[in-house]
Amino acid sequence: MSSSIQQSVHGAEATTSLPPKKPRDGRASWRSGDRWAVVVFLAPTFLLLAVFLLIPIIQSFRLSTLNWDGLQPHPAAVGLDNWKELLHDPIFWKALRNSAFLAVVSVVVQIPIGLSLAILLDRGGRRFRVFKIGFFFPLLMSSVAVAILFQGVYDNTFGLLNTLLEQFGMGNLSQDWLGNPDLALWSVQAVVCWQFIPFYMLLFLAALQGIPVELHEAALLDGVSKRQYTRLVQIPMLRAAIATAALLIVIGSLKYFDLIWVMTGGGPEHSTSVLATYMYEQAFRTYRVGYGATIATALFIFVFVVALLVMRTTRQAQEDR
Amino acid sequence: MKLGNKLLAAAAATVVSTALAGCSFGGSGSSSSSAGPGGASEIALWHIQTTGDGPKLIDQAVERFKADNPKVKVQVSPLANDAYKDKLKVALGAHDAPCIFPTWGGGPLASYAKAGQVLDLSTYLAKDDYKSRFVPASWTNVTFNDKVYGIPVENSAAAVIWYSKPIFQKYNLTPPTTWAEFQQVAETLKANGVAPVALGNKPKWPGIMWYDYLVARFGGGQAFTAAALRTGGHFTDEAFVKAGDTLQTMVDKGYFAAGFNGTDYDNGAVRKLLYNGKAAMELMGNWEYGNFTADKKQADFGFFPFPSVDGGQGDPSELLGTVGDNFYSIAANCKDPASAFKLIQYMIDDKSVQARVAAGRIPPVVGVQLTDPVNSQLNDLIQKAKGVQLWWDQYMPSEFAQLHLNEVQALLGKSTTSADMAKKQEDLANSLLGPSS
Repeated sequence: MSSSIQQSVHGAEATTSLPPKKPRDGRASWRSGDRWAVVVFLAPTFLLLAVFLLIPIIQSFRLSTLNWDGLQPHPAAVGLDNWKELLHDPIFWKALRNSAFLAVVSVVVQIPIGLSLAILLDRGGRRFRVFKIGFFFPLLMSSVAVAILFQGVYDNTFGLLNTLLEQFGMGNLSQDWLGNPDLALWSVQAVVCWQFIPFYMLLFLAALQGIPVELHEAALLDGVSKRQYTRLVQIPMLRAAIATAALLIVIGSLKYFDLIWVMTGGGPEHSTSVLATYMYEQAFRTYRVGYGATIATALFIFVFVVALLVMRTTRQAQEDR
Repeated sequence: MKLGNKLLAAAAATVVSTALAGCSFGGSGSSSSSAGPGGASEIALWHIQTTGDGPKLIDQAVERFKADNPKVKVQVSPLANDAYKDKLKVALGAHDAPCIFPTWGGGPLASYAKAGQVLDLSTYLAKDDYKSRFVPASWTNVTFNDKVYGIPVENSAAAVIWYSKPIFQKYNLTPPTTWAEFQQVAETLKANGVAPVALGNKPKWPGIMWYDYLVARFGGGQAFTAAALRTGGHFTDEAFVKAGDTLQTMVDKGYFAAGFNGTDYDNGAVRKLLYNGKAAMELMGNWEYGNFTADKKQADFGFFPFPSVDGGQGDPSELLGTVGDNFYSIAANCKDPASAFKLIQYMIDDKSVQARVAAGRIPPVVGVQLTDPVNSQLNDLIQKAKGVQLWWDQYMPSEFAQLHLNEVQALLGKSTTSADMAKKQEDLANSLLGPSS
């Protein structure tokens, strides 16, 4: 066990950027006593992380090698059979495609709209406060409430959307938004964007307000138009915020669950299944806990790899500046 | 390094290692029921009677039990229906189940019995011939290998076709008894711009009622049980394919209100169609009558049994449903099963039966007098039925149930054929339950 403690200490050193050299201000360098204080202070966090994060991840990989219904005291070990099945499971690939679709469309839609709203609100200042509050509303609602709300909006017979279309003489455009497998994913996607754009709007707004006033004044002195200011100053200054937003959106989309589960249950015919809903379906509806754990582990690997990639590319982009 | 630091490190290491040890796979967990000092014991009771009079029905019985058995502590936990199955499964898997818990019988209960997680109640039931208090059909879904693992308590349910009386009156329609009559009714409704059938198939189980009933009408109850129990029947038999084809014909003819695969039964969308005259009929369990009543629309609705089909082998009195569910079981890890059984008896004693009748339910006991006309009509149907087949998704192992639910949704969405679906189901039944002979 002491070796893992040791590791955690090394990990701590790596991430808390301890000064490697003797500081110049005359304070004593890190004595061994301080080092142990670090251990003591980090141990609770490490413990919680281990119990609730690291061990479950390892456990779910272990579960993925079992054929277990969640009940039998001695589940049969099946080696990598679950993984082989996963590779040939068309619904898994469909769920993966849907997750990727969700991630890509969310990035493409949410960042530009969130950014535009943030810039508009920033330009408008106090006068636009009422919009700020209005735009913020979707974020205050729980995903389950949003899902039920939009079930109503999309309802085939009484739904707001189809009713409006008919009112405006476009009844031929009315659709079975959630029941048509070709449309359902788009319908869900729209709600996901509606739900999360405010968050990114807020993130960008905060970043915009972090831009030093001097820059704005300097730009004004140089005779820069509003549009040029946005293009030449604001957006480059927001690069880090945009990268963060992209990372959050990609990770969030890959593990997205609640709204889809409530709104469509992943259906009809798995047309809106994503990795997390398919995992839930297998583990807690079909009660194939081992196979569900396989999906969960695959999901973990995807999120991990994608997060690494996104972080690397954004870091690269920042170093290139 | 000072001594104090060493001690701290040792302490930290110990904390970490004990936490790790406590996390071992499938740990024994704690038992929910423990015998305290002086013979006092504690019984944990889970239930899912959270709507309407449900909580009151349970609490009244528990209070009477507590008054008569002051030494036994009872801890009642009402749980939401939706998440309950998952919660129970997790609790049983972790050997942390409450003493008393409800199930719907059928496949899942059989799997708990097989895993040794629930007690065989046969000896308790034999005492004073307690078993004969209940309607015989109520034991079908809790009896495995001649051992009984649950007590029927709450209600009897069967799926029937509910119809809107005002709409039927308006177009001069009478409840159909044959498929040909049913089609005539449907065509008349369609011609008048009313969708014949409302279906909320987002949760998938409302759709299988249609398929499962059609199988029963084409092949009789034995068509399904012979395939399910692998005693010579197959899910590819004629009755199954015919049922699928009939269902797709209904879709083609526009019998179901549009958008059915995305309509959510659970949020009341189906009843909205019925109340607004957009649709006229619904195949649903008799709990729907409770919903009509809660919405003060009960006077507008009547029901008829699922129609017979031309050349069908099935007896038109056969029903799809369940007699007596929820069934209450006792967990194998219960420390005081005798008291637990006694508590269940309080939940279905004469006073509890009266309370359930007053709440509009059909308790599964012999000779019950029902006050509500629709309920007593339905009770007659249940008593006279040649058989009551438990919902397939409850009867079958969960893996098969999930496939069945998904396939019928795809069948209704016309993205599979009845033959393909039949083959998939037969293949899975073969691999889960073995070949049928």
